[in-house]
Amino acid sequence: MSTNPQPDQPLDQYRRGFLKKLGLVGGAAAATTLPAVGHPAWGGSTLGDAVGDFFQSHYKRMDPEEIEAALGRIERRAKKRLGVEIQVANTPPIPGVVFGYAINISKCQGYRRCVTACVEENNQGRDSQVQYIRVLQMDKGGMNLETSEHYYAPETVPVDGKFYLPVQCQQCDDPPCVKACPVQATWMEPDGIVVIDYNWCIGCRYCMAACPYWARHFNWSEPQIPAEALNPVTHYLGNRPRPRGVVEKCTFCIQRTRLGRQPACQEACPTGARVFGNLLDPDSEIRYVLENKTVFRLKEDLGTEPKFWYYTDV
Amino acid sequence: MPGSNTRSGVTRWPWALILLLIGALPASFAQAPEAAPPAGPGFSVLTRQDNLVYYPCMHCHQALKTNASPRPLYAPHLREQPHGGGTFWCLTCHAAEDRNQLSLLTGDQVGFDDAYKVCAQCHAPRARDWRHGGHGKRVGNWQGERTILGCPQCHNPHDPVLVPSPPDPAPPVRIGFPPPSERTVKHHTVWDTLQHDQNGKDAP
Amino acid sequence: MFKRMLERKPGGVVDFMLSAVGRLSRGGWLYWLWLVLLLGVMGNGGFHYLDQLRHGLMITGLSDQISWGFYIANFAFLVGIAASAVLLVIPAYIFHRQEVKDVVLLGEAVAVAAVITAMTFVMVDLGRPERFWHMIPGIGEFNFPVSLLSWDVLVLTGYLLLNLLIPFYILYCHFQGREPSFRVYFPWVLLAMFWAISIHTVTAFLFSANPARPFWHTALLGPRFIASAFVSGPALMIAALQIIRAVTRYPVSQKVMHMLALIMTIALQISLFFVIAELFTDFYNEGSHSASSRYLFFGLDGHAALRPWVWCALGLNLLAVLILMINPLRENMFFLNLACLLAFVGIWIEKGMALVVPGFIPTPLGEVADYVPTSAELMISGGIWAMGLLVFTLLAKMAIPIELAQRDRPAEAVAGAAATT
Repeated sequence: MSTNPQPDQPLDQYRRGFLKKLGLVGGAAAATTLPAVGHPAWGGSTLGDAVGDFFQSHYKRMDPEEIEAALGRIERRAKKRLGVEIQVANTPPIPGVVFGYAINISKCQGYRRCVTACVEENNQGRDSQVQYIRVLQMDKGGMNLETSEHYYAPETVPVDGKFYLPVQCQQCDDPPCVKACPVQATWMEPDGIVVIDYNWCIGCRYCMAACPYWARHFNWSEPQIPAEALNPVTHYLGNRPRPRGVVEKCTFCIQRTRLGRQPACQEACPTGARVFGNLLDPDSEIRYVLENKTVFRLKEDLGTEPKFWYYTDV
Repeated sequence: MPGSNTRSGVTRWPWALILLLIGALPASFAQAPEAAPPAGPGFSVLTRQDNLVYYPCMHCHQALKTNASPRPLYAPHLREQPHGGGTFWCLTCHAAEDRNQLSLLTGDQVGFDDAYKVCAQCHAPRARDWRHGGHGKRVGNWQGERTILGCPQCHNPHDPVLVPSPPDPAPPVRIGFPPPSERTVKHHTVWDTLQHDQNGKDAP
Repeated sequence: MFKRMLERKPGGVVDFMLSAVGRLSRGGWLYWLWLVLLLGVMGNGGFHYLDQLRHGLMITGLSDQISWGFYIANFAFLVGIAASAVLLVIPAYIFHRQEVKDVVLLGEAVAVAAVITAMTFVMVDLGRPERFWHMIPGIGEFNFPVSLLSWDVLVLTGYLLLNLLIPFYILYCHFQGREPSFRVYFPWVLLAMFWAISIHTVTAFLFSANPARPFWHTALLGPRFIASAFVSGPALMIAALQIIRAVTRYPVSQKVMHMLALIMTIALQISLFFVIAELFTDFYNEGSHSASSRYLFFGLDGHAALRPWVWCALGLNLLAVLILMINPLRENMFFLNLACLLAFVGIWIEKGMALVVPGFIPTPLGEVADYVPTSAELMISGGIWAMGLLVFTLLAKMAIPIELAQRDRPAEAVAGAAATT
């Protein structure tokens, strides 16, 4: 986060500085593999793995053995590039579960703890602008996104006269991004999570144009993560290391939630503003919120049917 | 997250009892008769009693005589007690006879881990949300055994309003780009704009 | 039968293709200079593209806020150029106007070059171009008919094939010294006409399909695209025909120029009317849908990178329409050329950067940022444009001698050859 480019710093210089920093903080593990952090031949994998990656089929068409091989390639690549042992899971959806999320905007204070936790959990490139959650500082007395402040940085929050609106992927039930994709690299899983096969995406970014919530982000360069900051518990459709040139997005922390855990943003929220759960379970917290509080959804008029709600205390 | 450090054994009946009691309280309350909410999901509250620095309180208080008259207190107690705007005194919530316990309006005593029962006496709608997950926070998992934070885990019972704190860093910009400029047009709330317009009209 | 066709015998398909390709190596110093120039610009673009492959799209000015820019802007514009080749097809093949028929093959060459150029612009915009095969039905997962992008790929590929097929047949017949059979080519010509409209409509729908982007989400976008295409296409054709007339002895009738100029005039008037309609809707009651227009024309929150460009485009188009609407000026080649240049640049800005980029500003979450293409982006784009010119040059180089030979044959010889085949 401290590596924001300076206005007068040329790109190459910035890049070198960042790599140097990576080498310093990466310690011994990274130092041996440092050449691979930049622009390694075959993207840091062996020729065999590169060929395997190239010919890898669509996620939904692969048989268990092919998936196993694909997971192995990702694990080997992380080991080679960063010297970190990661586990890439392929946990299936839980039957009878459709995930939903609600945020209490009376409670959200704009601390951005969710954003930080999300970056750490989901292995987002530390040098890129990829952050799945944007917390908007809004003017009280209105709901105009166009007057929101994205880069607020006061001494303390909340600021008088403002309220805070965190926005991330709304996991639409009729997702325009899925319709847009020319190669079906993105789809909605049975548990309602819209996922991307990062090995199938061609990087055309039409989904980014189609998303009304600005929830999709592109890897303009190879994502750089210091070795010791890499979260080794990953999922193929979730937080496993992503390649350059593909679009990525929030997956409701698929690597956690499919194991029954809370998403990282819910866990990090110091105000308890975030409520996550199974929409099909009438006893779940999320259902209580939907049935008993006055809720709204962002840009509901676009017909995207988000599975993401906002509510207030009263 | 101390998700494993939970205390089970909070059963449903005391909660239902409290709601019944609240429902049966003064007649002024009765004109908003909230029907008893559905039983809702079970839960246990994350314990905090063991983490309290001065607990057990009776270490000191068994040697001290109870002075029931409101007065400024000294360390280790808070001098001010903002909660309730001056209407509360220590013994409103703390049991006079056994300081290891809190007391309810009924005279019943509950432990520090069950502090929510004390809070719920006044904050009934909030307590209902909390009980069902619309307020407060569930820790660890979204399914299976439900452990939630008790009221004092977020709110200082003596001064429950959350204090402002610094936000995490602003979002980065794409590599190679200058930092985002401040919005040159400062947006104001509706009433600020209206006020400004009024002043503009009033000006000679 | 195919085997027979593949044998190299005089007048066979192989002979036809070999002799056509063989002509590419014969030309004056101007021709070679032109080729070297184009190859130089292409090489420069290719060099920068290698850089893009190595570092990723971070070498462009694009960001998560403005995720499409100069590449897609040129793509949208070039699809319009490709579509407007239909203009010449209608009078040539339906009304059998000989002077138009003479140049219709050149129109189709422009279409082929424009489609290839447009497709290349999409290719360089991809983050993972090596995964292009994911789009091929069968081995990939082609999201048809749901994704508008898949429609665009389909119609552009089809259009490319059609515009290769029809001239191929006609040229092949002329190569053999006979007139092409009306019954053989006419159904394809008919299809190509509808197809031309469809490629540009689908490209417009690609944008207008997104309620997330109010600036694009208007039913007028399709008609606007078509109208402006019928300005930029003829403008380019008028220039290309004059160059052909100057460097070859190919007959280009002044009547064709007048016809194209007239089409341009009407299309530009309609196009400007559409712009006015958009402006009225955006600014009479300004709502959230007009934020992008406000950014474009006046700037928003201190960001106004496109403001000079769009006013420039409006000015150029207005000037062009003034010249075109005054008959003596339009018939004067100097003023006509000036109007073509003004309108071509005006539409290039209006339908390129001024259409694609404001769609992203403000972002769906209300963030305002500017987009300025980097020099690498401009170099790569320049290389692609040079490639388009090269494709057109080579196609014209192959086609023109065949056509000239056909014209030089006495009429009875043509009739005789037609009777024997």
